[in-house]
Amino acid sequence: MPESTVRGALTEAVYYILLSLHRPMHGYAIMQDVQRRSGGRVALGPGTLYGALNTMVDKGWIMSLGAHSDSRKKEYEITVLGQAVFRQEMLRLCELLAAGAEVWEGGSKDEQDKIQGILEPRE
Amino acid sequence: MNRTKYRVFWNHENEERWLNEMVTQGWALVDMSGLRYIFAPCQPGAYIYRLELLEELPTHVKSYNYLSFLREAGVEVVDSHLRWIYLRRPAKDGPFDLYTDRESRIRHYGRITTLYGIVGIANLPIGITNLSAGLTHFSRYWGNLLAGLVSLTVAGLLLRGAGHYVWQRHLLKQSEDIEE
Repeated sequence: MPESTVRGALTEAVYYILLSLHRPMHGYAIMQDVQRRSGGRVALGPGTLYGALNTMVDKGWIMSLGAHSDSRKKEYEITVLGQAVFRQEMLRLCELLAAGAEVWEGGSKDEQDKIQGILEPRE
Repeated sequence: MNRTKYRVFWNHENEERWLNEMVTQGWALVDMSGLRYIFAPCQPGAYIYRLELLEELPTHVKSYNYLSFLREAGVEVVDSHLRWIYLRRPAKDGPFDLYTDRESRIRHYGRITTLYGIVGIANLPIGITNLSAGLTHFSRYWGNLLAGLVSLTVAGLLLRGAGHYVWQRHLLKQSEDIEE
């Protein structure tokens, strides 16, 4: 039975976990990777991460690779479905940013550069 | 030289606060059974303690998987009491919170509410029956009167506790409307 393709926004935690799992990784490494990528802003609690990983495995967005040969830690990796979900989310974020850029007013030069750096300049 | 203390908590966050306060004084919890807490000397501020009520007993496979995962994240299971687990992580590994998202915290409060609610409510008929037996035939059933009072006190505390967690959960749910 095909799942509905209409999805809500992903939480920041889920977005970053999917991002990290574009490479195989185990629990603690995911926590550190997400923290690094978000500049320390997104800190995943182990309980939260555990729940999120299980939910994403159930939905088929990621898969468990079984224990890594030497460290016996269970690794996870994103699936094809997970990659599609991730791309969809990135496009959703682009839509939000583009809409926001239309009304953007004020702000410092640094802030403006940051936005422009991601969006194509409008003619 | 270990130190023993006796306490009763119905609020696990107060209990956490107390355990972490003990750590700042150089005492780390190493054993817990019922009312008895045993502390071993440690470097002040060496650990961060957290408590969690598991969905199942620690011996259940679901719990086993969860605890294995926690161990991989550098979390040590100090002890357990029924479904409650006592966890700690070295402070040098950074801040330690089990749940950083609202959904999981809401679910945790819900679990505690359910536990307290069921046990609290179960104690009511027991307490009332014992109490009425003791009141009608005091000389014969004074023991029941005592038991009844204990049951009702426990029920009262647990239901008050359940109410606290219901309120905390409600506060969390309220903030869901605007922010993630």
